[in-house]
This record gives sequence, structure tokens and C-alpha cells, in this order.
Amino acid sequence: MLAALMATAQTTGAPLFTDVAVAAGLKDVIVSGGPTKNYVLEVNGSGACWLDFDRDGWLDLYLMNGSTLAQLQGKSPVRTTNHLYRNNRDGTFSDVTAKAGVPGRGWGFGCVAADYDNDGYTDLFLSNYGLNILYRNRGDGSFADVTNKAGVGGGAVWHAGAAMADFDRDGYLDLFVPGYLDINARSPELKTCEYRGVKVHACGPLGYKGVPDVLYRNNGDGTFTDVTARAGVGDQKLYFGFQAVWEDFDNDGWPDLFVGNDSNPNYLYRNKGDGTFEEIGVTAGVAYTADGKEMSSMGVAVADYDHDGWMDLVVTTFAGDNYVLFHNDGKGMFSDLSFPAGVGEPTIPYLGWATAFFDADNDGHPDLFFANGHVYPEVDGKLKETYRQPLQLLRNLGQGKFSDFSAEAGLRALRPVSARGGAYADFDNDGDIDIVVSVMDSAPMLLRNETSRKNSTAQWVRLRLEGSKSNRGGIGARVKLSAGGIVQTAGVRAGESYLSCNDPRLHFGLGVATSADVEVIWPTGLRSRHSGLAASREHVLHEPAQKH
Amino acid sequence: MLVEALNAISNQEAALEAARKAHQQFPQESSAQMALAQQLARIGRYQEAGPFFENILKLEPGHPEASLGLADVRQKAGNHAAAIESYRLALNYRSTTLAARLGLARSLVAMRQLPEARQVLEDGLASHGSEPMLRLELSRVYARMGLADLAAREAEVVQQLKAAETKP
Repeated sequence: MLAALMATAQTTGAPLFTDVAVAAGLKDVIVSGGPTKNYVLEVNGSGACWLDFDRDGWLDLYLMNGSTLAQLQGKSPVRTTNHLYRNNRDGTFSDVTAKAGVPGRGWGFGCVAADYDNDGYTDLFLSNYGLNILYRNRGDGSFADVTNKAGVGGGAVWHAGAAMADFDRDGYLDLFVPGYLDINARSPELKTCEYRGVKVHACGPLGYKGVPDVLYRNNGDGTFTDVTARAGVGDQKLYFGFQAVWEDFDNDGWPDLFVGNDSNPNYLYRNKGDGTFEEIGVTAGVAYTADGKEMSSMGVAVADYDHDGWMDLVVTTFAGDNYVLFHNDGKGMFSDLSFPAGVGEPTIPYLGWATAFFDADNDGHPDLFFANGHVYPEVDGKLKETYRQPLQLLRNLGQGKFSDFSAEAGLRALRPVSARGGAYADFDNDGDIDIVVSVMDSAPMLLRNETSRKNSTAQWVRLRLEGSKSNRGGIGARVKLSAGGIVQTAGVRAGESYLSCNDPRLHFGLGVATSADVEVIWPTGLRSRHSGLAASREHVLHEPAQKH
Repeated sequence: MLVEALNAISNQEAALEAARKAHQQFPQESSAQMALAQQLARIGRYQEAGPFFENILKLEPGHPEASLGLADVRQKAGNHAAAIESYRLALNYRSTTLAARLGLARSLVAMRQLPEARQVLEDGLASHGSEPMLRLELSRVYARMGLADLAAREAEVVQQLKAAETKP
């Protein structure tokens, strides 16, 4: 099947992905300080979230935006805002930020889209340098800033890639927000350091103090309570948290929490099921690489890439280090299989941010996407490394192996960029997964996947979960899909990649299979079975009222 | 020397170029082959490094660094049975014993030979007990064996040793 797809791509000369951002109307420039990048605040970029805010069945796009020091310091008027783009259902988007009332404030970094109040409408949480924001979706196309009432502002510090899940399984989504770095943007210190013999200014994060992570428990009444200390996720060492992701890594039915830390060991918090967590990153094998090194963890993605029923992790890292593929060996024990799996070598030259597992060619095996870009513009012309770098797609060959498919996928033909956030969704509902990439000081890229146009024999199915006793969006649900002799396992998550949030619907490639059998394990533990789901369409699965 | 100097400033590509030039100039010199192979491995290009290590071992059977290098190449390719063989050779030499012990333990874990991995690591405690890497591997092995208390204790030691390493 895959060979056929490759042959199609190669014989037609057509790329698998095409950048359609301009035609789609995504023209607003993402701002991240000035062009010279003198401060660490200017180099980390921002994220993107897919959400269907108006419930029309088409994924809309929320793009975070940074700012400038002059704006933060009040020396120039505030001109940057985040952007909410409504999907016009014809391949284009309209900017409805003002109408929806979601401009953001401060210097925007990350976003999470999820229905925290179970009213059926997707809300938005934004992490900033400055107060964070919770926007409640009113259901009429507009949002209300409910940050103060909810109690999730988090203080005027720098927070990064948040994630939501119902960690205590009470039916309401809770919120984890990693803290990054303590910097005073009003009077930042201009530093100078050396990177591989080149003088650079945006030095960090080492040399700065970290900002504590926060876990907010949803009280179910529109308010949250900070339970960080009580739950045991206190980040006492003040590591530089970049991206969190919730997933049940030990298959015990309780969502665990992975926190990717920049230049520090990663955390893995095992959910003990009693409202508390145990940090097991070192013993579980995800705190460090196989060689015992700290990673500059940037982005994080989760999938069961080898169909063994256990959720694996991939982490993007700094240039000169490989991206790290942590294979879940079972019961939450991980092995760094980056090199044996073919992920290590092709990623060493690049500095990675957004990452995603998704089935790009609908063959039933999740592939791997990486968005790359250096932090130091100064490297251009002085080192072999470059500030703008190619995007990468590693094709899943099965048997736990990946191969760099970037050129065949058309990614090498795209303009190199200094990419940061990124998220996937089937925005045109054509049966294949597309990607949006946030680009430093540039308009975003919208990579439309051409698989469905080029090869009609690759089947797929899309699942939208609706919880009743569980949270409405079914976040935290585990889905097992059987088709074509393969059992695929996937989870519904809110907050992943780098500062971003993917399509909440689950997309499965089926290869040549024309139907699929599905089992859903809902966050409450209830199970539902759905047999003979027809391929090439979306199915809405409802949580049953009781066990059956 | 130049390779080492460039490595010291982390200019890995320049270090590779220097190693390549030295090897082109002295293709039969095992030291030039070793420098190139080790630099390739250092930047993750294990497949390219493999033939150089093999060549050195043909010229000098039992060469400890080449045995270790080849073991790493085999491990990174997922060929753990062959890696174990090479690590055991390298384990006999003082210069490579710690790295070989760690590599051997990792490949034994990959082969699910947990008691053997534990033994290899515990045998290293007397000589390398203050090495965080050894304690880290030991922690991981204990955890896999279900020895949670021992694993947690070792994890704590790792953090203490790493913290001591980073203190000015």
C-alpha cells in the first residue's frame, strides 16, 4: 500500500504536502520580537490550536502571536494580537478575532482548546508571558474572558505549553501549565554568549531561574483550584517547562503527565489515582536520553507507533542532539530507541519544535512530523547550521522503523523557515491530515495533504467522541481500532506538539480496509464498542450511560 | 588535536571535516581512522562509522576503543546480540570499562536479560560508584525488575551526583 503511495507521489512528481496558507487567507505575520533576537523571550515563538468553535463540523484555527519588547514596555502601541480564523468550508479562512473577542494580551505563547465547562462548546486557554487567559466560548460565536473568575491567570510570569485532562476522573477537565523562565521584560539584560564559536545574544535558559509549573483542578463550577503542591507536581527544582502532555502511559486507566523540560531532565508523573502523583522520570527512562544526557526538550508528541498497545513519546531537541523516541516497553517503562528506529540520525542537524505523530498516507501507521528552526539568526553564514531549516516527515515503515520521507513528501521543496509551533487537523475534511506551522516573523504555513486527491484507494475513518459522564469532549479517552489485521491505539488529548493543540477528532488510516471495529475506553472507565464503522467518513461516538 | 579542539567548542561539523582530511592524508593510519570513526559516532552517524571501526579491528584485533565503537554502532542499529559481544571485549580494558559496562547493560536490558544487566552494573559500583551514568542505568534496571525502592534510591543518587557535577 505504502509502496503504491510512494510510487504515486514519485511518478506524478506531485508533492504530498502543499503550502496553501496564502490562498487560504492566512496572511498575518507572527511576531516574535525584533529580527535580531537579542533576548531569550524573542526566540521561542508561539503555538497554534485547531478547534471547531462554532460547531459546524469544520476545524477553525487559533494562532498565538508574540509581541515586541517595545510593546511590552509601553514604548510603542500594541499592534499584535492572536488570530482566530473561522473555516469557510471552501479551503479558506476568515479572521474573526475581533468579533469573537479573543485577541489575547501580553506576549502569547501557547494555547489549548477544550470544553472545560462541558457545555458542548470548545473553550480556549492561552499561556503567555504575562497573565494567562481562559476564554469561555459563549456558544454564539463569541468568547468571554473568565480568567479572574476561574482563577487561572497564574501571575505575570512566563508559562508555556499547557495541557488539559481529567486527572481525577470527576468528569471535568483539569489544567496543567508548565512554567518556563523568570525574565524581566521591562528591563531585560542584554547578554552575550558563545554558540559553537559564534557570539550570540539570546542566551538561555541556563543562567536564568525557572518558573514553577501549576496544576489547576477544575471545581466543576467555572472555577479552578491550584492543587500543585497537594498533587505532588510541584517542580521544586524549577526546571524550564516547555510542553506538557497527558496520557495513560501505564494503561491503568488514569492519565499520567509528561513534562518536557528545556535543558533539564523531563518529568513523568504517574497518576496514583488518589489525586496525587509520583515523579518517576528517571526510573521510567524518560528523564534523560539513552546516553544519560539532559535534553533541551521542546515539543512532545504521543502515539502507539508500533501498535503494541502502549503509548510512546517523541521529544524534539536542540541542534546537534537527535530527537528522542521513547518506546514504551510496557507498564510505563521506556527505552530510547531513537537510533534503532531511524529517528536519531536524520534529526541531529536540526533544532526541533513542533512534532506530531499522524498517519500522513493513511496506511495505518503513524508517521512523524518535525518543525525545525534555529534560535540564533547569527549562525547564518558562520556555521553549517542555518536559522531557517526544512520541515521533516519520517515515514513509519512498520516494525518500529522510520525513514526520512521529507523530500518525497514535498517538504524539501518548501521555503526553509524558522518554525516553532504546529498542529495537525483535517481542516478541509477530505480524509487526510493537514498541518499548520507557526513561523517566526512570518505568516504561517498551512500544509495541505494531497494524499486523498492523489490516491483514492487509501481508506480512513474519523471519530468524534462525545462524553456524557466523562468530560464532553472525551479528552483522555482511549480508542482501539481494528481494521485490516492491525489494532491501532490512539488517545484524545488537548495540548501537545509545541505550545499547540491538534484536531480533537481521531483520524485513522485504514489502508485497503473498508470498515473498522472500534472500542472506546472512556475517561470514566466505561467502555463502548462500535462494529463495522464504514470507511471514508466521520463517525460520532457517544459515551454510553452505563457499562455494557 | 584539531579535531579535539573543534570538539571542545562543539563545532562538530568542522571537527568532522578535520578528521576527514587527516584520514585522507593518512588513510592507513589507525589513529586517523579512529579519529574519523569516533567523530562520525559523536555526531550520530553510526552507520558510516561502523566500517572504520571494523577496519581497525582487522588491523588490531581486540583494540579497546574500536571494540567499544563497534559495540555502540551495533547497539544503535538494534543489533544487541552482536553489541554485547563487542562490549564484553571492551570491558576488559581500563580505558573503556565504564562506557562498555553501560553499553553492555543497555543491550542486556534490550534483550530482557535483567539479572545479567543488574550484575554488570553492580560489579561497577566499586570502581565507578560516583558516576551518575552508572547509577542512572542501575536505577532503570531496578525499576524494570520491580525493585521500586532500590530504583528510587538510585534515582535520588543520580540527582545528587548530577547536582554536584554542575556546581561551580
